Amino acid sequence: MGIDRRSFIKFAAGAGLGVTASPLPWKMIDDVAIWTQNWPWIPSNPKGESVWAATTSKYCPSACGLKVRMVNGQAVRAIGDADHPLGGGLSPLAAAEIQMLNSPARVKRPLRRIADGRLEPISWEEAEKILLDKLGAAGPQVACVSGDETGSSLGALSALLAGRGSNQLYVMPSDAQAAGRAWRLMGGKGQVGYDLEGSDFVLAVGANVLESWGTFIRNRRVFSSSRGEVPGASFVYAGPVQNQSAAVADQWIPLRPGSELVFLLGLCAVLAQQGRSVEAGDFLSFRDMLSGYDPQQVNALTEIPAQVLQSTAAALIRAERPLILAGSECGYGGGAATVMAGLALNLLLGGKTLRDVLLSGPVLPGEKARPDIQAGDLAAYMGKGASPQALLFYSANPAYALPSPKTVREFIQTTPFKAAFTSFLDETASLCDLVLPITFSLEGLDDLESPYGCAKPFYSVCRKLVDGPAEARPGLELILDLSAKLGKKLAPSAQDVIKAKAKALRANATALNQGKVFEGSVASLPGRFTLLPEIMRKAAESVKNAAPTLLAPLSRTALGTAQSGIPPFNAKLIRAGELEGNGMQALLNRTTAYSRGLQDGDLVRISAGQGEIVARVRIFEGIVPDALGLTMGLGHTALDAFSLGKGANVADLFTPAPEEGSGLTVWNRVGLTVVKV
Amino acid sequence: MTTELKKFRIRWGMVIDVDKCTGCGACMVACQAENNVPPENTSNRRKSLNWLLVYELSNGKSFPGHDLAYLPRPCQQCGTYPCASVCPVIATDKNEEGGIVSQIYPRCIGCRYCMAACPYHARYFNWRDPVWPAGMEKNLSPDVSVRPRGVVEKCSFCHHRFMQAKDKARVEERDIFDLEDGEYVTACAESCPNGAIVFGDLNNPKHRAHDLAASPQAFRLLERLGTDPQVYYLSRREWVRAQGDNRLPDEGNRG
Repeated sequence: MGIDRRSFIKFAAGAGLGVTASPLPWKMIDDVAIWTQNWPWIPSNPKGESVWAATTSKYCPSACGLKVRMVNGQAVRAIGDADHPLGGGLSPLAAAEIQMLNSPARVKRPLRRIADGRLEPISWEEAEKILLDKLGAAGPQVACVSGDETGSSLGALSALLAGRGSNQLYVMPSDAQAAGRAWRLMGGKGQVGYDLEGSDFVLAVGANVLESWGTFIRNRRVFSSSRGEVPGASFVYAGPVQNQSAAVADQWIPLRPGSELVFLLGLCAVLAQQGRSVEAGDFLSFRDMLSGYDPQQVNALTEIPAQVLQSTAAALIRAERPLILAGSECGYGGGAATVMAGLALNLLLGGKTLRDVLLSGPVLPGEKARPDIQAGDLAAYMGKGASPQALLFYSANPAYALPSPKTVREFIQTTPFKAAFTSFLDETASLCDLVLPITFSLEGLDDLESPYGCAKPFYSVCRKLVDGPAEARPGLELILDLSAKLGKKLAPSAQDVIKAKAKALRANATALNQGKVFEGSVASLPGRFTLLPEIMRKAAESVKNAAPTLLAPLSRTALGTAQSGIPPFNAKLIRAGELEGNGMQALLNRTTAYSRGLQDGDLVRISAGQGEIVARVRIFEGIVPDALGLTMGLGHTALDAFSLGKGANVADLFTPAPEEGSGLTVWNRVGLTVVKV
Repeated sequence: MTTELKKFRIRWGMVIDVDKCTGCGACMVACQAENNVPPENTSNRRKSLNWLLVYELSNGKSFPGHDLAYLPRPCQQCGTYPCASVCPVIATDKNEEGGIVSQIYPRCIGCRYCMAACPYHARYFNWRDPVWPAGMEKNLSPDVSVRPRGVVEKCSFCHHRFMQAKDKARVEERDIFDLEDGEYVTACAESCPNGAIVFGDLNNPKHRAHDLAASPQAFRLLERLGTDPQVYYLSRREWVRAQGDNRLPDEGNRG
C-alpha cells in the first residue's frame, strides 16, 4: 500500500499535534532563550566549595575585620566580621578589596627603566642584582619612605637601613604621625588611644570620625550602637564642611579651615576658668596662655559664636565620660598642636577616655620603634634639599599625596637611583628606575599592629589566603632577604618576626596564625603630663593671618588610597557634586561665591603656592563662608583607567609650612586665589 | 496601572535609617560584588548599572541652616508593582512567598517598559555586554549569574541568600517560612557599619524590621502613588520625610 495524499496529510497533522502537545517545543524555546544569553564572552560563575577565612584588612586604613570567601583558591567575596574588635561592617574599600587583587593597576613582574624612559619587564635575578649593586654603592646615602605604618615591614625597613648606616626612614604623613608626636611630647609612652566604646559624648574636631579618621569602621560601629533604642553617646562634629560625619552627628559646629586649634583652646579656656586643672608641671603657664582665648577673643579670631563655645563646654562638662578627637579633615598635615590641644581638653575633663596603647617595640637587630620612625618629617626632608644616592619606596606614593607633588617629583627624579616596592603602578612607581612587585592584602604573610585610634594594643596576622601574581613577593619576606644579601641577617623568615612580635606582646602566635586577633590590656596613663603651651600658642598665631579664601579638603574613603587609586567598583560612587564629566567641582556657599562674583557652574582657576587646578563652581550650602571645598582622591596621573583623568589632585594646592614649636610640616591653612576663567 | 496587592505570609523588607547613613557607599560596592554587577568607568552615568544607589539630599536652606542626608535606594519590592503589570513576557513577577519582585533574565526581551513604569528608577538596562577588567572575572561571586546585554536587571534582595537560608532550614527540618531574624540578610545590610539598613520579615513580630517599619518616624518613597513598597525609611527630620514623598512646598505635613 502506497502513501497517498490523504494519509500523508493525516500523518503530518498527527505529528504536528503530537509535537505541540509534548513539552519539546516549550523546552526548546526555553533553551533557546537561555542560550541566546549564554555567550562565551560573558563570564561564568566559579563553581566549587566555599571556604571562609577570617583576617584583618591591610587595604582599608581602618584595619577592619574581614571574613573572606574563597572558591577554588580564588577569593570571591569579603564580608565584615562583627566579632573583630575593629570590625562590624565594611568600608567601601574593604568591600572592593577582593577585586583589587586583580586590579588593572597591579604590578605583576619586576620592571626596569630603560634608555627611552619606558619601564620594561625583567627577571627577579636581574632586579635584585641592580638593587643590591645600587644600594651597595649608595652606602649610608639611602633613604626610604614607607606607606605601611602598622606592619612589621616598617621595623624591618628601619633595621635594613640601620645595617647600611642610614636612619633616613620616613612614614607618609598622617594624623597618626601628628598624634604620635603630640603624645610623646606630652609624656605618653606608647600610642594615644581613645575609648570610644566607653564614652557618652564624642566631640570630633576636624577629624572626619565616621568616614576616614582612625579606626573608622569601629568608630561607626560605636556610633551605630549609640543610636539604638536606648540612646547612647552623643556625636558632635566641628569642622568646615558638612561632611559624612556632620550628616549624621547630633550637631555640626561650623569652623573655618585651620581654626580647630583655636576652637579647642577656647574650650580649654572655659574649663580652666571653671577651675579644672591637669596634673602637669606646666599647667600654670598653660592656664596663663589660655587667658588669650576666652570666648570673645576666640570669636574675634575665628567667628565662632561665644555662645557655641559656652554651650559645647557645658555639654562636655555634663557628660560623664566625654571624648575629644582632634584631627585633620584630609587625614594628614594638621600638625601636632591641634592634637595636643585636643588631648589637653581631654585631660581637663579627667582623661577617662584616653588610653596609652603600648606597642611591641623593636624585635629585630637595629630596628627603630614606631614612634621614633614617626618622628621623621618626610615633607620637610624632601623640601629641604636632601640628596640621597638611593631612594626606596615601600607601599608609598608621595608623588601623589605629599604637598606640592611637583617638588616631590623633582626630588625623586633628581635622585640617582630610586626603587619602588609596590603592588600598584602608582605615580611614584612610575618615576622609579626599578619597580618590584609585592603581594597585596590576602596574598602574602603580613601583620598589623595597633592602628591609630584603637583603645587597646591590637595585633593581627594577615595570612596568605590566595595566590598573588606569580612574581609578586611578600614585602616583609623580601626586606629580610634583601638585608641578608646586603650582609645583615635580621631574621630567618617573616614567620619568625611575627613570632617575636607575638612574644613581645604576650600573644599566642598559634592562635594568631589561625586568624584570631590579639587584644592586650590597657596601660595606665602617665601620672604627670607636660602640656607645652608654647607650641600651641605659636601654632595658633597663624590663625590671625588667615587668607580671604581657605581650602577645605573633603575626604572620601571610597576613592581609594593614594597608592591604589580609585577601585574599579568604586568609580560609580563618585557623585555629580564631586565631578562633572571629568571636571573637578569646587564647593562654595552662595554668599562666598557671590562676594567673589561667581555663580553656580562658573569655571575657576584655583591656585596656591606653585599649584593650580581648574574647577567648576558648585553652590553647596554645607560649607562655611570664605572656604572652598575640594574632594580628595582624584586627579591621578598613573594607575589605571578608573583613576586616570578624573578631576584634579588637591595635594597640588597644599602649601607646606613648618608648625612653630612642634617642627612638623603642616598644610592646614591653605590660602587660595580663585579667579574666574 | 498597578497590579492588585498580593498577600504573602512572609514579606521581606528593609528599614533604612537615613539618620544613620553617612553615604560612604560600602553598600553599593558590596551589592556590586555580591551580585556581579560590572564596574563601569564612565562619567556618563545614564548607562551605568546600580542595583543600589545612594542619593544625597539637601534641605535646600542656606548656610548655616543647611542640612543634608543620604538615602540608599534599592528596588522597593512594591506590593502593587507597576513594573510587572507592563511586562509583556512575564519576566518580572511577584508570586513567590516572601514578596520579592523577581526578574527572570532569560525571559526578558529588553523592551524596557518596566523601566518606564518604575517610579523609583530602580531598574537598569544592559546596554552593553558586561566587562570586567582582565582577570577580575576570577573574583566573580558564585551565586548570581552574569547578565548579557539586552536585558533589564534590578535589586533582588539578594534572593540567592534567601534560597540558601531556606535550604539550611530544610536540612535542619525547620519551617522555611519562619527564619530567625538575621538568618537571611542582603549584602548591603550586612556591609553597613552604621547599621543603617535593617533587613527582615515585615510580617514577623520576632524580626526587628517588623517593629521599625511601624515606627512613627517611618516613611516610604512616593507613598502616595499607592505602590506599597516593602522598603521603609526612618528619619527624625521632617524635611527628609517630606522629600521622600516628593511633597510640594505648600503642601504641609502628612501623616
